[in-house]
Formats: sequence, C-alpha cells, structure tokens
Amino acid sequence: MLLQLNLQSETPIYLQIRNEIVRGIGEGLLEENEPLPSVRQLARDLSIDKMTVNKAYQLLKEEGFIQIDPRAGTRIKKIAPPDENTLTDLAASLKPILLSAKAKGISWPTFINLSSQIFCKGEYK
Amino acid sequence: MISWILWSSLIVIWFSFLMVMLGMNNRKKNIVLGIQIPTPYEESEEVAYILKKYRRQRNVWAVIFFSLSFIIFLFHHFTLIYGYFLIYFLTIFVFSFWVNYSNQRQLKDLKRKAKWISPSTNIRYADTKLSLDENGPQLPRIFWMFLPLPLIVMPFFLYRQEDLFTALLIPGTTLFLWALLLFVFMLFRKTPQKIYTGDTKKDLYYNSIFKKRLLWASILTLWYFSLSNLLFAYMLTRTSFLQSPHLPLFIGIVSLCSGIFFVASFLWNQHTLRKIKIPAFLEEEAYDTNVAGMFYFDPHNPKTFIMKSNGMSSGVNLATKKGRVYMASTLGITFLLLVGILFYLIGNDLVDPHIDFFEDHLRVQSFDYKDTLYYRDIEEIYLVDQLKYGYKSSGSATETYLRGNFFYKGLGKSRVYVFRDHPPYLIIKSKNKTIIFNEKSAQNTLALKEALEKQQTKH
Repeated sequence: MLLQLNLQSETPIYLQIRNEIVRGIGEGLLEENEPLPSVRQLARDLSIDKMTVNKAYQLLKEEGFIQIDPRAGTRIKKIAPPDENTLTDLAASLKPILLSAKAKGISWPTFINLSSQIFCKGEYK
Repeated sequence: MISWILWSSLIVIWFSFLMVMLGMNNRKKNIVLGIQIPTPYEESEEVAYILKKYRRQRNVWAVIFFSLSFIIFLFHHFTLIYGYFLIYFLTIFVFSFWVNYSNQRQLKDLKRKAKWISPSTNIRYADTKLSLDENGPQLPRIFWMFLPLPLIVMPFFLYRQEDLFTALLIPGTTLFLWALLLFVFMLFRKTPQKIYTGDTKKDLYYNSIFKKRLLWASILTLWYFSLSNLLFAYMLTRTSFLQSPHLPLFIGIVSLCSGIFFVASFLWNQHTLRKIKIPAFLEEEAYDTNVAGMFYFDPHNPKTFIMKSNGMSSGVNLATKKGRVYMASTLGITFLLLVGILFYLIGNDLVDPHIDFFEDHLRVQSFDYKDTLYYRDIEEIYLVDQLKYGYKSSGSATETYLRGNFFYKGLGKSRVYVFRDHPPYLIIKSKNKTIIFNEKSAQNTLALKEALEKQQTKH
C-alpha cells in the first residue's frame, strides 16, 4: 500500500500516517497479519522524524489496529468482532459529525447515501 | 607518441564533458537545464533567453577547448606534456561546472522570483512493502564493490619494485573476478531485488521496469574498467613502453577496442533510456537536485547512495555528510594521484642520477631509486653504444630517460639510470645485480668508468 503524506496539511503528520493505515485496512489494501515497515525505515523513507512514526504506531496500537512485537515486528492485527465498547466509541466519534450534518441541513437519505459510498468504495464521488 | 596518447585522453575528457552539456540541454517535460519549470512557464521568453545563452556558451566552450587540446603537441618534454594534460583536465572541469551552474542558478533565481513552484512539493510517499527491512535484498552498495580492496591494493605495494605487471595484474584480476561473482550472485538468486533511489514512487517503477538493464549496465561498466586495467598493465610492462617496434600497433588495437566499447556503451545507454517511458507521476519532481549536470544534491533525501534516474549506476547525494565525505575523498585521492605524478616527474627532472664513491662501496642514486654496490663484488665494467631491446618491469620510461627495473636481452634483470640517446652506456655487473648508468655527456661517462676501474683495482 502506498502511504501519502501532505506536509502542508493542517492535520498532524502522525495522524496522517494513522489515517492512511486505517484507510488501508478499511479498503483491504492491508491484510490481517501483514507486516508493516519498522519505525526507523518508515521514518527514513518518508524523511521524517522517528518519534512521529512511533507516535502514529502507538496510537494505532492503542486503537487495536496493529500489534507491535519486538521480535516479529509490527503487523496488522486480526480485527475482533465489534463489542459494546467499540460501538460506544464509534457513536461518540459520529455524534459531532451527524449533528454538524443535521445543522447544515443535509437530509437523512443524502447522509446515508454518502456514508454507504465511503463505507463500500472508500471514497465519495 | 606520448603526446598522441595524452591528446586522445584529452579528447575523451572533452567529449565526456560535452556529453554532460548536451544531456543538460536535452529537454524533458517540466525540466529545463536540469531545473524543474512548471509546464506553463517552460516556453516563456525568460527561459528561452537563458537556454539560448547556455547553448551559445556551450558552443564557444566546445570550440575553445577542442582547439586548446592541440597545444599539447607544442611540448616535447614529458613533464611539460603531462603538466599541460593536468592543467587542461582541471580547467575543463572548472569551466564546464561554471557554465552549467551559472545558468542553472539564473533559472533558479527566475523561478524563485516569479514563484513558479510546483504544488506537489510537500507530498511524500512510502510503500509499506518496499519499506520493509526484510523485503528483498538491495542492489550491491558501493561498499561491496570495495570489499576486496586490501587484495587490490596490497600486491601493488608488495610487487611494485620487483614486477609492476604482477602488481597491476593481481588487482585487475581480483576486481574482475569480484565483479563476475557479484553479477552471478545477483543473476541467480531467487529473492526479488530492490533498487533504492530514495523516492518510493521511483523505486516501485524501477523495480518493475528496468532493474535488469541497470544491473547489466553497472556490471558491464565495472568489467570494462577491470579489463582496461589489465590492458594498461600489459601495455606498461610487458612491452617496452617506447622501444617496442610493435607499440604503435598495440596502442592502436587497445584504442580501437576502447573506442568500440565506448561507442557501444553510449548506444546501449541511449537505447535503454529511449525504452524507458517515464510515467507522469515521476515528472512531478519535488526538488531541484541536479547541480551543474554533474552532482546530486537533495537535502530531503536521507540516503547517501542513490540510483540515477537518468543514466546508469549509482550517484552520491551531496546533501548528506557521508556523501560529502565520500565525494571529497574520491576527488581528493584522484587529484592527489594526478598531482603526485607531476611532482614525481618534476623530481626526476631536477635530480639527475649520480654515483658517489665511498671507502669500500659506491652508491648510485636517483630521485626514486638507490643502489649500494661493494667494490669487491663488481665482476665486470664495460661500455656499450646501444641498449638492445628490453622491457620495463617497474619505474619510469619517458622520451628523455629510463629509470627503474628493466629486463634486457643478454643482461637480464637490470637497474637502469639512463638518459636516452646519450651513448655510451656504462654496464656494471656484480654478483647480485646489473646496473646500467650514463651521464648526459659521453666524456663524463668515460671519466666515470675510469674512476670506477681505479676503485675496483684498489680493492
């Protein structure tokens, strides 16, 4: 999978890395148990600081997307079926987005159509 | 003869720099003189003016330096011929750099003032598979090429005095076999090869399209250098450099082979480059990394050794500390070697060989050789008017003098301190060695013989 970063974007770089890897998992570009580059190597290839990559990897680990093993390296984690906590977290993340959409006058069918396109195809056109 | 050999080298140097300049002028989309200019501004008047100026300067440069190369024939002394060769080499390097760099500088200034900046400057890419440490092995780094360096350098010091041919043959063969080994290793291994350019998109592209061509070209270049090393060793030693009647024919064959190889390599490179269709995304280069068409400078690439995107083999990124040290030491060593030879020649010119007589021995000394001979060991002293055909084993053989270890028919291995074409030549034979010596004037040589015979009869 090709990771793409925009250094002029307002989104912090570590968050961009996190978002790119999550996008890869979501779109099926990164498969379960697939190895990821080491912190050092990815930092070298992107010409950024090691701490930035480390921060992104720690965030992904906390969110349960990857597992970091000092011997086996970093790999994409087997995604467990969503439990109650996952749904609660998702609801918390969605709430401001949904309310913002409602405030901007976006209708429910339009929102559903937009969400299903992103969910199935990975992008909205 | 030596003037012709060095003149042909000057023409090769001139041609190489001309090729760099023609390469710079070679228009690609978005790139003018190695500087990225976004499409709408490529055809602007300012850019056209700089290009026109560059072409004019290049043409003047080519004519002047081509004409200057013939000055070498005005000199008749080897030191002066070599000195001119060195000055020409340094001057052409400085001038080519200046012409290329000053025009690039103007384009950069223009680009900065007019704010012609590509929006893709801040986009970076990395591939999760290519960035894996354990992903396929890389192309051999320059380190592996120099691994047998002790084997290459040691024989030179061990055999230099005794036999220059062995001293050059062993390193040449080692380098050749090492290149062969690397090549076989890379050809037959099963794991995919990984080419690092420092740019992941380019890596992806190179790996899929033309890695084998790059590999072949790199290996062939190495072979060429090792083979020419062997030929050079042969030319210098196994034939008397300036005495052999077959020398013109031999040099002709070597030059012809080199020429054929040179042209074939050039055509091969051109053919390879024509085959490569650069995809659009590669043309969105983020930084201007080309310095005067000769160096690579990219502060945003942490890698020291990079694969050239245009041309063959690898380059050095001067933005890294390691790259600067590597380039400075490579250029420094070359410069020191070239200047060292000049000082060696000047030393040989200034210090004429002389014989000093002591109580029980004599000492023959020149700038770089020294022999001590006890009078009691001297078996024979005589004069000859002509030195028969022989070959040089080590030392120096110019049009004016012969110094060092030579092998002459009838005399065997001999230490020679001789001014050419100044007969007679004094032969001093002892138990262990034979010394051939003469002075510039025949009278002095005769006087020396008498003095020597006196000392011999005394002991």
